[in-house]
Amino acid sequence: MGVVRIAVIQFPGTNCEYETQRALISAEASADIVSWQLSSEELVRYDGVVIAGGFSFQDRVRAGAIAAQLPIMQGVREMAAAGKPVLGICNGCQVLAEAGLIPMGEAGNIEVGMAHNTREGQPIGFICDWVYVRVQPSNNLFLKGLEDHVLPIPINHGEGRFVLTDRAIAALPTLGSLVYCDSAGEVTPHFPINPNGAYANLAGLGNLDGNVLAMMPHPERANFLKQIPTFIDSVWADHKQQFPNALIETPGPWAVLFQNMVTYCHRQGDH
Amino acid sequence: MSVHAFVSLKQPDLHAISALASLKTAFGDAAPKNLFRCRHLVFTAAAYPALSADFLTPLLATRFDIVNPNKEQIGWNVPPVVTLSDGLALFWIDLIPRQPDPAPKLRLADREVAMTSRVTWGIVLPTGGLGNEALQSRVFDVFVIGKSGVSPLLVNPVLETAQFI
Repeated sequence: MGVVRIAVIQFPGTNCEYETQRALISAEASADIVSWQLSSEELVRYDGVVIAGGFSFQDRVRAGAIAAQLPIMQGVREMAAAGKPVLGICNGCQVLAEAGLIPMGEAGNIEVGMAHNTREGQPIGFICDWVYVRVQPSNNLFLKGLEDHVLPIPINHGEGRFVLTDRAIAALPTLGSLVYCDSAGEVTPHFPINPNGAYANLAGLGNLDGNVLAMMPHPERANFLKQIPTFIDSVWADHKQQFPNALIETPGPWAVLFQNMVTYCHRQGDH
Repeated sequence: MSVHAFVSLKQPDLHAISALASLKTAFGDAAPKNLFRCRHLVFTAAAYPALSADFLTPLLATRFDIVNPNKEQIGWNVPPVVTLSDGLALFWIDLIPRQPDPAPKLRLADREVAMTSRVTWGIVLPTGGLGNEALQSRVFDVFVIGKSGVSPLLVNPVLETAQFI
């Protein structure tokens, strides 16, 4: 297989597509920012797809709801069904949830709701901060090699609280997931460790087949060591202090996620 | 004792415009002819003296954080009146949160009033010779529950339930 081609979908209101493209290029993919008006037929020619963060369609109706209804999402569904990697980041996570792509992947059947942030049950509005997540062991292709790692990552959302149906809760142990934790990896349900009141501290959730990942935090903003702040309690902040002149390309904690996506596409292409 | 306020925009509502365009893409000719959207505020206070729209109107006129008089208008206790052409029907659907937030307490005059907020959709569609019950069933199945592989747009079934007003 030659160069892996990944599509980054740009809806009106998407605002993280260029950082996402940059992260994919650093993983040696060819990443195209494609319009939401691209046909499904053209989209499925790509090896994988990312729905980046932002406020698609100004969050009208609900965050991600309008984008989830667009014809291009049929292409995303087909790619997911074909085993191609599908990543949704922040607003992309909300779009995948609204489209029913996590966790069951049944079109028209929503099993996950992304509710407004709460602190101990009270609405708290938009949050923008660095948090820590623990990667749960699973079959998810994006999380390979990151199992049980505790990684810093920024969050930036108003509606990021995972709410699951009973059916999704029953499937949870078999799904790839990221859970909010403290810097030592301890998972406790209270603010600020769980910054938005998410069910089971969920920060991200995969599908049953392990080729879809929807995550509220922003891995593209922690893809390079340069992006990591020194004030956080993490070995990655220590690295940055040790190497203040690190090259812009020096990988950060989440570079592995994008590399996993590209590596998986290569393997698929070889078969 | 509760008083209901249906707060709608004076200008066109972009949420409703986008939702309508999206439903037309998904459902074609079967899509609604028009959509309206309100914030449905429910005010509750101790039984005596009875809470009323007359009591709340002047007080809300000073609470721009609740209702912005430049942009919004209030209809008390019933959704806004809409004039319809022949052969069209309008249904109002209230979205009830499955996990409601605690109602914030407001101090209005000397009274403590609890206020909750939810969304109410108005859906206009052709009657097509159908009776009220059949039309309600169609609204609920197609636009609220979602069918044929199309996710529901107006209601997120994980977060909300829907009921006709």
